[in-house]
Amino acid sequence: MDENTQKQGNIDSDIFGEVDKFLGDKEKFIRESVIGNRIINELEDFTLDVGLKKTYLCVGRDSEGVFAFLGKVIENFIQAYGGTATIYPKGERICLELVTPKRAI
Amino acid sequence: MSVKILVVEDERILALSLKKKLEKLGFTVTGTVSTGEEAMESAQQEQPELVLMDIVLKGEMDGIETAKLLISLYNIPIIYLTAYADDETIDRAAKTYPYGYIMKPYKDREIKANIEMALHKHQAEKEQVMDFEDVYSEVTHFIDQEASTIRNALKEMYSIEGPLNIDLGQKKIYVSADRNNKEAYRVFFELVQKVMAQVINSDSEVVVYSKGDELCLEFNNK
Repeated sequence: MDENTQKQGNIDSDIFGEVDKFLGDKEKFIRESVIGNRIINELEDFTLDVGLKKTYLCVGRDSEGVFAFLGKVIENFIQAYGGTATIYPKGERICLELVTPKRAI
Repeated sequence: MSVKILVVEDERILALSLKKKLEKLGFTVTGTVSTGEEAMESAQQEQPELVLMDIVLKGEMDGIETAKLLISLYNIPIIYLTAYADDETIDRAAKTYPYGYIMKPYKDREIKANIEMALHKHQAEKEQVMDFEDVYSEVTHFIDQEASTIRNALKEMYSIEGPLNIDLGQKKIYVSADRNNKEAYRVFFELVQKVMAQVINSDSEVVVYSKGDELCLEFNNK
């Protein structure tokens, strides 16, 4: 492996590392501040996918207090990010697509 | 009161002759001018109800260019006057949607008929615009009524009553609330929770976002 290839590999690794760290921090913030640890402990059936711009949260439609829970998540998300939340059904689940505005981190 | 007409004709003798004919037919001539620039000035000052416009004029603007400006600025009906025009000139003139076209030499009956037809047509067009305004007013009234119906439905279905603004689009319903108003804020998020139960049983989606000081909610029926 020549020196240039080695350097490029290091740069790529740094970028991926930064993105992973950013996504990790964002997921931690969403779990703790937008959803809330208490609710996470209460909910058994939910999935969370955090992306750079969009985050998807799906909950089983029969989960107890699901609408109150999702309503609170939307309220917290809009307070924190000023973003856009879309509510839609997906099979037996109800999902949120949370879009973070560009200016936010 | 007699109809006020502006004559735009660069041949002075023809202009005076036409003025006399018009007055004899009972019209008021607000002026006889020979260039497009003078026509614009006279139209602004005298506000004629109709313009008789020679196509070939002295000065930088010909009759067609002057007519375009008069129509766009003052919505005055134009009747063209000409002795001869080639096809290209007639095509250009036609694109300004003139109300008439009188060939020289002018005959009294032809002038009178053209002017009366032009005024009648112009009046009818103005009334059509009025009709459109009536339709717009009806639609607005209908939408207001529907918004009121939806507000009542929200109250009945979800037991929600509060300071929400509701607008109806063709495929969407928009609900907004002032986020600085505590009551509006509370009612808005109460509504968000309650509509989710409807969303899950339908093919709809609900979008929630903030826009300045407003919280907004859109119902989209797919």
